Amino acid sequence: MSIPVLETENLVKVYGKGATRFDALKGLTFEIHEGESVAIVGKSGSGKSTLMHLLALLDEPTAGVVALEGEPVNKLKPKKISQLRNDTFGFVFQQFFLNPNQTVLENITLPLKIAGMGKSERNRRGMEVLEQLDMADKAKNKATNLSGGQKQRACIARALVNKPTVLFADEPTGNLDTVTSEIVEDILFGLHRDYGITLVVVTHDEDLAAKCQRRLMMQDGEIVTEEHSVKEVQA
Amino acid sequence: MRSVDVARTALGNTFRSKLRTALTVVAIVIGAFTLTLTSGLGAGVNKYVDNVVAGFGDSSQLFVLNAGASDAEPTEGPAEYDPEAATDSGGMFGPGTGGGLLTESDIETIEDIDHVSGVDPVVMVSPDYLETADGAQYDLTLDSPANAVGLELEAGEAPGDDGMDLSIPTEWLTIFDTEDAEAVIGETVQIGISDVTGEQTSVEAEIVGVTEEALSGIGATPMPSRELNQELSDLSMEGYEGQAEQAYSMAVVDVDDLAANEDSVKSALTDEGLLGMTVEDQIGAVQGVIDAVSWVLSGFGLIALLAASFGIVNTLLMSVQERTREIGLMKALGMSSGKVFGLFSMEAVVIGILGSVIGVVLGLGAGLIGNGWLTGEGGPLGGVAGLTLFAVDPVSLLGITALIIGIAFLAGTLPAARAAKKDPIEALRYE
Repeated sequence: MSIPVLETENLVKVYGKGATRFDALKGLTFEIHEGESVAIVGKSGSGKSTLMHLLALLDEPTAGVVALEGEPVNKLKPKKISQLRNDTFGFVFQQFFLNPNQTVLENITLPLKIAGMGKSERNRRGMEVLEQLDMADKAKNKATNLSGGQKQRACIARALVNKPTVLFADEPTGNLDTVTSEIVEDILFGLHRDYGITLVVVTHDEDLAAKCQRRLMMQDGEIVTEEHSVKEVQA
Repeated sequence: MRSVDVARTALGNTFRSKLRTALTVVAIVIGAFTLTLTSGLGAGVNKYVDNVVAGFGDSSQLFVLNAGASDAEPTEGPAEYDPEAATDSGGMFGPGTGGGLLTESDIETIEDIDHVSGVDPVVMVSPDYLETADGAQYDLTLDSPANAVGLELEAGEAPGDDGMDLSIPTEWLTIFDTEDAEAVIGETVQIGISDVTGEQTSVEAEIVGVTEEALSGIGATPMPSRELNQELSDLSMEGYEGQAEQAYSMAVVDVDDLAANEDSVKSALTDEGLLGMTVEDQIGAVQGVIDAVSWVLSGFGLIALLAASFGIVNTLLMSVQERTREIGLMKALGMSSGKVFGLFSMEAVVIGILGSVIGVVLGLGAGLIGNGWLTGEGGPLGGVAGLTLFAVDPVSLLGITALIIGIAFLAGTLPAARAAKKDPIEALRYE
């Protein structure tokens, strides 16, 4: 089998000390392979968000190792880790985090701007992704004028614009109604199916989780069960 | 992130909260405006003094005064009489003039100093009147010929060493019923003076120059040549019985290779209780005062800037707080802490650039207009020839701009460091 795109070994995260000590993660070891869709499922407080932050290199574990494509990242300098995040990951957030004063195009090309890409190339790539998500006509709109579904699509466009290997989605449908949720889910799984993007979804929504190939069920900082879907994900 | 994108983003962010930015910029503008005016004022007045000095040429002369007064211990109340000191400080004109006169023996002492090639004592005379060809007489006070180098000439030339020559100020043109300065050159006048017995005699003098009043006051009164001055002095001493000791207000000393021997001649003079000053020394003292005044004024500008820098800190701290989420997002998307720091300190620099450019331009405008109004034709100071109150000094303007941008950057470091330290997870959770 190929080298896993993400793997963890005995991952531990502890918040606080003494009486206020809280073990958010209690020694997790698992692998995520390229092209997989993985759901991290659990109630709030189960440690699923903490796990995602560690996988996405936004936080450092108290103990244990996160390895990206076989390389442990613990030893890397912060600047290098920032660069890895920019190159390798895409993020879709529940609250969108779009800058309301900027246009959709400016918002979604932010990762490229951070990467140091020139303006014309940024805009070209940005328009490409917007067309892919049927958002091209909104490119010049201010982000604040979009509907919830459009905002989440803009957010997905921003996550895709740097052609990431892994797409992290933190409760991607948490702020959306049922119909819009389905559209957004279709987009995410369509990307996974058509472009082979590795998808890591953090959710407490069983329906969304069911669409993933693998489900890691979390409770009190531990993976209690792991489920695999046998059949292909429906479109 | 490219530097150009950092700059562009910083510029965009600065204008996001226009009123807040504008108020912060106003504070900087006040500081920049003040500094521009004060430095321009210093430069302008110094330029005027330099222009006056330029008329002196590169002089090889040293002006020697009696430093006598500095020997005397300062006392409270009336000082006790000391016959020796009184004699020292110079004969009949000595007391009452601060002991500042030179005696004949002082002149001999100066002549004996190494490198001194000539000594020209300056005599003060008090003539009674000046009489024109048509017989009208005018009250007359004469300037010292030693000041001839400082004259601002309207026409003709300054009275020299030889010849019974005289210069008159432009105000005196009325006694010849003319407004044309050139027309009076070559006119002759009689100068009357009383000797010690009270008998009046007169000498004839030729007008060779017409002068404007300089800021120093030189040129405001008629000035004789050295020969005319000496002649008047001799006439005033006529009839004096007993041993008349000649006294001089100062002496003009020629020194071989002044640049090389200045220090040795000066120290030799100091040993004799005399004070030697070059033209540069005299002007330098004036410029030192001007510089000191303009530095004190600039101090107020700096205080304004200091206050303004806290405005920058405050503005950016608020901005960092408001944009916590945005900072978190940028960091999550891979922006390094260093770049976040750079972005926010660049916003401070943008505020600094805006404030300094606007302030310097306003300061220049106010300075140039004010200078034109004050020293121009009909202005309150329009009568002083060649006076400039404000000069544009590009180097100091660049210096002011650089200083303000530097202060703005420093003020921005605290908020920028706070932004750079933000934890992306905490920042994204922030509501």
